[in-house]
Amino acid sequence: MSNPAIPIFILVILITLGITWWASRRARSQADYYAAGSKITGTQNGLAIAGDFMSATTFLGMTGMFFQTGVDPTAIYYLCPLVGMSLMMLLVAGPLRRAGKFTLGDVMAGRSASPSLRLFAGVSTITISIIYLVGQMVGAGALISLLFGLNYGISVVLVGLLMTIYVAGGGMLAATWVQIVKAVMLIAIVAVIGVMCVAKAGGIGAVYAQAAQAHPLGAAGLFIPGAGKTDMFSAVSLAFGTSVGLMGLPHLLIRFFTVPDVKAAKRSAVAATAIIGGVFVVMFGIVGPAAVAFLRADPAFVGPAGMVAGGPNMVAIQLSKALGGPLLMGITSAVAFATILAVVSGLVMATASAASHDIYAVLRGRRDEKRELIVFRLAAVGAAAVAILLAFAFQQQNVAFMTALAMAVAVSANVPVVLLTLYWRGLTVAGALTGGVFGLVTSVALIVIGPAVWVKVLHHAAPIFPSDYPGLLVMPAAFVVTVAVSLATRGAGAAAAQPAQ
Amino acid sequence: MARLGLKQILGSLLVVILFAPIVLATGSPAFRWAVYGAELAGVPLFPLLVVALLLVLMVLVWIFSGAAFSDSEGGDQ
Repeated sequence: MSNPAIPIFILVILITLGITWWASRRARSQADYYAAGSKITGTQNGLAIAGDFMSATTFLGMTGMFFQTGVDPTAIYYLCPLVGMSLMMLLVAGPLRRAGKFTLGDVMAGRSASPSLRLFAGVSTITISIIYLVGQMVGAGALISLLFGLNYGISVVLVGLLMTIYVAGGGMLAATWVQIVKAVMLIAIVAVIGVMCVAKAGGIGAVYAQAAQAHPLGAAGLFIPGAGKTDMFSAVSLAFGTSVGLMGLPHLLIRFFTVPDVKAAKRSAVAATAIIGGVFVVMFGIVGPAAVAFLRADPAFVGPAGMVAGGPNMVAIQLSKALGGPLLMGITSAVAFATILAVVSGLVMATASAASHDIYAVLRGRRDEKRELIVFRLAAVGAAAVAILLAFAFQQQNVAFMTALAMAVAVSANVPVVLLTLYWRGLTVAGALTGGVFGLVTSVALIVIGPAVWVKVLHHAAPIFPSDYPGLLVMPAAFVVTVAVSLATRGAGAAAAQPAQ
Repeated sequence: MARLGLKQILGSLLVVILFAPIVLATGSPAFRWAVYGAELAGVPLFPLLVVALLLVLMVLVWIFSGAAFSDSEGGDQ
């Protein structure tokens, strides 16, 4: 146990609970809970988007991945978010903001006012957010276990409890400010660690030289890709899923509904990208190689099998210990903890708003703001309970990989429907529904029979589907299904989508 | 209804073309070009290229966001 970590952890919890209490006194209406009353400024929203996106994956998983395999396939994980943001700006962000109000269901069902399409949007949002949530919970459980010596299960339950309080208590306003605080903390700690790494090694070149010496892969295996660690299908599908998939991530897309106008939306996008890009440059260019340089050959941090104490997701934390002792380790752990809390609150936010605004409203048949808010809070509790249970099953998975899984589902289920809703007048309700359900069911099924679940979780000898990244196959197929069914049902009158406003 | 214009198509292609060498190099030794093994001030070239691409993409998002949220594209609700 690291004593300096305890007061910092408690401080983070108190600050975030204080934010929730403050937000709960301001949140009254549906718009306040779902979209913070659309009163968040552009820069605040940029920080919140960055805080929402840069998760345990970024800070813990990707550093751990670099430590184990070098740039292959870590480079793809770092580049994809910015590739995805570029595509999001080009294709989705503007029209989506104009078409939506609170949820992705508003966008998908907006043209046709179709209850079944809204229902699908709700189910899809919840599926993607829960998978994403599990990755964050696994990281959180491992981190708290390492620092406090707490049981993994208790750690996961603690995070689940906190995220429920944030969302059920303060809605989007609380989630936004938790994300802003976390983003500022993350930027600061990454900058400090980056500077300390370069200073300790005596220059950036020295960081790379020491890393090449310390790792059994050597410079060629560590810093040049293509040594056979990732096959072409997996590389392309991973890149495709984690970049294009960004356009289908509900918890990020709904952040564009929290600002008052287009000017603020533009400022959010630019600020978010600058923050995410800046942090990634330091993480990939300095922190990853430095972790190899300072930890890999040190028996105080690495066991005989090359595994860092606490598991692969703890590399960034152990690096901070190597650089600044228990104090820096405590601060870094608190930042990682805040990182997880911010992301999970965004994911629970997306899940709860989809459950109440999309699913409950459709099943009830009419809008009732008061009841929807009750369902919103109950859904936050339900999402936490499901995520806690799944976090036990996926305890041994790398958190970066779990995020890639969520994106594979997002790219297969949401992206075809969102793009065609925004750009194609010929889309029908039947087409959107069939294509969306096809993408959702097929991607989830292929992931279940792929190596990550079929072999590692269900303990079968070999996977039925050979890759963990089905997006490259499923998304084009979902596009084809959506278009084909739309063309076939175009003259069906009742099924035809109404022209956009 | 949003329009898929030349700006969107060319912009998307540019992003994909910039990103492709990294993905291809990861997927197969056939795209593991010798230049990736070079060094600049002691830093291997491939990680430097990735960092440079991150910076380029930051600039591209700034450019593209102008078009995405321009008032001429329909403005806000």
